[in-house]
Amino acid sequence: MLFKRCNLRVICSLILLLSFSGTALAVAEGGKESSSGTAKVTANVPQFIVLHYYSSLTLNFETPTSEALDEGDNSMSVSWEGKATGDQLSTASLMDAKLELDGTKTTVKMPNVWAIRGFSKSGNAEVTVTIPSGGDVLANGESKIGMSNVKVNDGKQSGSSIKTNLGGIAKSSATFGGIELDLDFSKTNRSGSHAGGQYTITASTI
Amino acid sequence: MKGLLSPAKQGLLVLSLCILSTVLAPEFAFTGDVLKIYKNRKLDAISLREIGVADSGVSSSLNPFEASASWDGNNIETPELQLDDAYGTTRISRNDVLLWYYDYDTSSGNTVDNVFSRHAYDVQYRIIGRNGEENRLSHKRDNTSVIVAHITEKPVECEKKSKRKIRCFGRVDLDFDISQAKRSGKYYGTIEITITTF
Repeated sequence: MLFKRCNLRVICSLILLLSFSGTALAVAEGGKESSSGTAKVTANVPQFIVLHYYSSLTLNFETPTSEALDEGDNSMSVSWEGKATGDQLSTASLMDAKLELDGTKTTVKMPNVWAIRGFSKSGNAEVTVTIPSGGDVLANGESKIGMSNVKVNDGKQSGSSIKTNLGGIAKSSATFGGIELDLDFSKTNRSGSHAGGQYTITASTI
Repeated sequence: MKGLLSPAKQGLLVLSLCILSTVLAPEFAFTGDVLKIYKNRKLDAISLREIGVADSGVSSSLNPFEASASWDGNNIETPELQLDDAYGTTRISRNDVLLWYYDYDTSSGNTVDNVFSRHAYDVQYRIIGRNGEENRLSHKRDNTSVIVAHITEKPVECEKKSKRKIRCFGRVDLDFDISQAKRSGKYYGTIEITITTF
């Protein structure tokens, strides 16, 4: 019976061991278990562009300085009937005034008159400027100012169409640009307001 | 020693005790318990309506101005552009995004009512852009074009999924700020999830 007792003790120890093992496993599992993993997240942003522009702008040209140009001495022959002959003032002989516009056009550069911002696939935008039909003349009655050669620029490049940076939607990341255009005063004979010139800016995501 | 059992009965008792010890031992994670973390979460595309615009192209007219011009064509002094607000917001939300779930086997005594008393959670989230920056999603082709992203954990909710299964859901709210995004298209990031159960 001693053997049997001892045998029982051994078996009981085994039972305790098994019980202990089971409890220990449960504690290990139940005490603190940590699992980790990752989930990839994808968000999709739409294309969007904002063009800021002036709907109207007025250029006030400075008043040319009035001048009296002394063309020098001249002697003319005058008949008794009152007819004078000799040197006369002509286009070729007129002295230059401070302002001369013959054969030239005035290129007007207006910085920061448009701005763009938004999102595009490439992060860029195309900005184009055109003169619509009838928009190439500023008129005051018969007096006209011709408008031509209009360009957009962004401080780095200039042209009728440019590819420029589209820096995002925030105002602080907007791209600013200017306009250049030529004005022809050769058919201008009136002072005062000449109206009717137009340009159209188009901004597109690319 | 009259009361001593025969060896065969002793063996049966041992087996019974072993089974009893297993049943009585506290169980927190059975083999039937399954944690599932979703590998990919494709969020609904951000719409123009969410930004507060009706069209993908907006023209914003500025107040007219007058400027002095010189005859020699020098740069005209134009006023500083005061840009109007052209959209409503740059903040976008995606709520109740399901990232993971835990299935518990009801055979271990779990019920919808007691699952929280038996399983306490601590869940940590970390969102990292493809460019490696934390709290960002980055554009697929331009690492400098980013969406600022913040994640907010929602309380774990459990429901009975079937007769033998209780499912607990790990959902989050995602808040995005697109003011630093430059490009349209897809932005990528990874959410690291660490779930600790007590």
